[in-house]
Amino acid sequence: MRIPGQDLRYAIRMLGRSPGFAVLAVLTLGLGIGANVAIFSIVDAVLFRPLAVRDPASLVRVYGADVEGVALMNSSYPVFTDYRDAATSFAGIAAYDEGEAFHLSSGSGGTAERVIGALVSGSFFELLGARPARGRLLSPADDRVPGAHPVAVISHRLWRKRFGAAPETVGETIRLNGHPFTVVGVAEPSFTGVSLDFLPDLWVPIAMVDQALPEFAAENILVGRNLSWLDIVARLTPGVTRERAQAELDTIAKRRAASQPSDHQDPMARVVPAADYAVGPAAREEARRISWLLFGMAGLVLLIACADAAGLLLLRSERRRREIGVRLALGASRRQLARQLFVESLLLAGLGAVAGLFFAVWAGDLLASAVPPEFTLPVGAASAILDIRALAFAAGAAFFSALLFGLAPAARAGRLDVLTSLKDVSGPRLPRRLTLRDALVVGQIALTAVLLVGAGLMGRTLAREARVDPGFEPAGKLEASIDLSKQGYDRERGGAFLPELLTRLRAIPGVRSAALGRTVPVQSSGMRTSIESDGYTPAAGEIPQADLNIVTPGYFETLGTRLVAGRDFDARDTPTSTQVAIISESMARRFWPGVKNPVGRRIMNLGPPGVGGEIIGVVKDVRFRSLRRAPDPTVYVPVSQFYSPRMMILLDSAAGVDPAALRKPLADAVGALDAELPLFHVRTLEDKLGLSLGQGRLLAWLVGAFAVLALVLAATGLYGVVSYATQARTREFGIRLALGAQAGSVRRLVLSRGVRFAAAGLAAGLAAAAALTRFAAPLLFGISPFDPASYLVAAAILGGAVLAASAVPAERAARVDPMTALRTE
Amino acid sequence: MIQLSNVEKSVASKAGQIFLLRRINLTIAPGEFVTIMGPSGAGKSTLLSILGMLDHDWAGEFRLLEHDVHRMKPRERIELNKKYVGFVFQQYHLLDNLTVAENLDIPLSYRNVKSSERAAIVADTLDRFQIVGKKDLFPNQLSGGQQQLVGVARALIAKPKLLLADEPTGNLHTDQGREIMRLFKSLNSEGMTIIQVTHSEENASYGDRIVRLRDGWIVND
Repeated sequence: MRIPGQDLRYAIRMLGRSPGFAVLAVLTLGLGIGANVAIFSIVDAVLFRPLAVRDPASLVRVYGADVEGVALMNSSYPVFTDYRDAATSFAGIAAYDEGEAFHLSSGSGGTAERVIGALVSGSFFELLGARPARGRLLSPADDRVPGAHPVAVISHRLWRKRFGAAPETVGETIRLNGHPFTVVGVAEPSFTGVSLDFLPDLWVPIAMVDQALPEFAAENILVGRNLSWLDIVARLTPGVTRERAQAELDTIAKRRAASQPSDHQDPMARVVPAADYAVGPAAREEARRISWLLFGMAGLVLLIACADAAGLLLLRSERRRREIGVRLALGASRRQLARQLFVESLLLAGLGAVAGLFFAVWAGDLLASAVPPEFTLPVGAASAILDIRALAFAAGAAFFSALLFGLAPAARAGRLDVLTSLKDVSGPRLPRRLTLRDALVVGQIALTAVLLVGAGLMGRTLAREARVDPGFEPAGKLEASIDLSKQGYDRERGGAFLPELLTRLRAIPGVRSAALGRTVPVQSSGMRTSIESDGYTPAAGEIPQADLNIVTPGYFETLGTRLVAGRDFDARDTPTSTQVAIISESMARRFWPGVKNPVGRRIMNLGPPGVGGEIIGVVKDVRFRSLRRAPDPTVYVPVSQFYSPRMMILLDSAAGVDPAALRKPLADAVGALDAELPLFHVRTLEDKLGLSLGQGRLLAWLVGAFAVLALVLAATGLYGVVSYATQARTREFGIRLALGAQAGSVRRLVLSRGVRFAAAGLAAGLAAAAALTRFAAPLLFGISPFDPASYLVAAAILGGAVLAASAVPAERAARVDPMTALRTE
Repeated sequence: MIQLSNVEKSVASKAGQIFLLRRINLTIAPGEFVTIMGPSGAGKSTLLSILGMLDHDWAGEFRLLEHDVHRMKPRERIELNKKYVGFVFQQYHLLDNLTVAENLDIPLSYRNVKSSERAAIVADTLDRFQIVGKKDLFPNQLSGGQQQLVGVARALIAKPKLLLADEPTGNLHTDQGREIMRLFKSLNSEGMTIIQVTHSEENASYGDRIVRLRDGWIVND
């Protein structure tokens, strides 16, 4: 669309002459557009933005798949080499294993720490077109002979954080999982690989897998076809389609299957666009749901903002009737007039977009700082919050907004009767019928009601969650994790290490009690085991399961979970004594229904065949995986009988001792036993519980923020309408007052207009909320999407806002001086 | 120049059809200075609006120069208005947010005159009406007389053949009113056809013909 310079110049002038109107409209639109840009930046980074690698469009991921091609899985190293050596559809192919934990210590000082790294084939960096910020990246020459290439590339982030961005880091020897590696380069800051699920701190060659993953050293992982641990990424040869690559891999897989025994068949292949799988399939689905929820809310706010702006413009066009009439009388065509008015709307929207960008930067920073690490949308990956795509989105949102709020006033101006307009020298007039502007306000109130109900539901969900009895006492507790497998501990060494560690932990001043457990609540991951109980006969095809936790004596006391029957583990439970177990109450109910006290009963698949493990105690239920999830039946076994190299330390501080103050003595106690064994996830249990609520809190916070924003915008819109109507009726009020009306009755006249709007808007809004909030049901806990309290509170808040917005014009009407009012006519 | 035959204008009301103009037959020759007079509600402004093609809802025949206005669609009438008619209003109706020069520029921009030509025409007009010094002022910085002077200049800038004026001195002091009327007289003597609506006998004396209306009828011509 061509915008004549004159139209633009006049538009700037018009806005400059009405600064109050311009500022209000720009701020209103800025809030609406800004909220959308902020959300877009995050959602775009996760779902839409191309990967920060060379020519991302030609990259594909190769998954293993069942015959139907439905379930996607990782691949074994031999499967990767099959494709690498035989497929001609690919210009390059690489394998990687991401999200692996490494214990990192270095000669340049600093304690041992746990970092997330990736094992990659030598072709990985070249395939993705990555460049080094320092030194060099890995090449095929670094990935030839197993165990012979102890080299690593570190991320720019780790380089800055751990090594202070020192140039001499390249060439330095670091220790990874107890093995020396030479840092050969630093990756570019923007390099994230092809996955957003993990942002690796370092990369080592797959050839070093035995050193990098010592827990699998015995598995001969580079040879085994039944160990699927690798992701495969490939670049299509120019001119080759994904379908053709798929067909070629199908052929390779079928040929291979023909030569393999029937008890092991490698999976078929599934070739998918790499960009679609930057976030893992499950996380992607969740991210998509949350994204649309956030986008939906931001969209509602933009709609409300547009309705507000349209209302303001309509109000202004009422005041510009004479000007528009003159323009028509001077020969303006309806089209020229509409264009002039639309240019003004575009200008407003453009300024709104600029204001919105500032708002988006602020909101984006706020969001990034408020987002817990477990949040479904990996906001950390949305590093550049405002890029060219966000700017383009803002421009698009501005144009769309201008269309939404500018067309109606422009069209209406074009329909104006010239003669009436030219004669119109009085102030505003009150139309007899419901106007578009009135309808917009009703719509705003309705949309706001939807957001308020949403915020109420989220808030009530949080409140319900906070009231849940977790089955343990989080106050005063500190937890930390260790992973002996990375340090090369075998079962014998680890089995000796853990009791020694426990003794040292209990000796720390300020520690009331200490224990170790495979899992400490609340933790979404955990071990499961099938259960064969002597009190329950499963139905045909049923494989009963329960959560499994491996703990030391004192675990329940330290956690604050009550033992309701029997005894805790103690020194009697040795590797050679009878296998024992403690179960949760729900486990007792599930597997020994009708048995009052299952102590002494047996879990047949836990101990020696035919004998089983003996239940020696029953404890209260603990919500291990989530506060929202009903406690799973859980069986606890002693670490003395079930060794686990990965354990969590749990300390209960003595009265008056801040658990956070135990971090240092805890690190010292562990360091005294093994200086290279890093502690990770060191946090108080209260902080951890807060994090588990984090996503719900953030969502509630976001919905609440959107609702408040909407409320302010709707109240502004309503104030404008009521205020305008009051002004239009000034003479009427003057006459009424002159005839003896009480101020109160005039006030009621004005308020009743606001109340009518509120009633219509609320009725529509609450009905819409009832229809829409059921889609948010998976995000709710303990309440239904039709929770009456949320609807009542929303109605009360909105009613209050309506009264507040109407009160000022009502008061003004009640104070009208009859003589002045009549003279103005 | 103008020929009206049996022109009628009515509006619907609960009481039935109310006639604002009845069987108007009027011929105006080029170069005439016609004054339409009559009491309030007589239909003066309504007649002027029809002549200016701002009102499309009427019956009868209306010829302007060689054009049969009554056969035209509203869009074509607007084009005719742009080509031949200039309007002067009692309330001046200058656009408050535009300077004097920009107010003069507006009619030209609506007639798609090139911007370079427009600047020259505006400069000539400012000079002709001796308001060059006021070109960057806004209407509220001018006196009533000055505003109406700009209003007349704006009406004339697109070189209309017909100038319509609705109570052009209604909001002016006597001296300012006389100045505007002398300007009209001078324009008329240069050949401009002028039709004005006024209550003032003095203003009417500047013209050469008076048409009197009462209750929508021409009672005297």
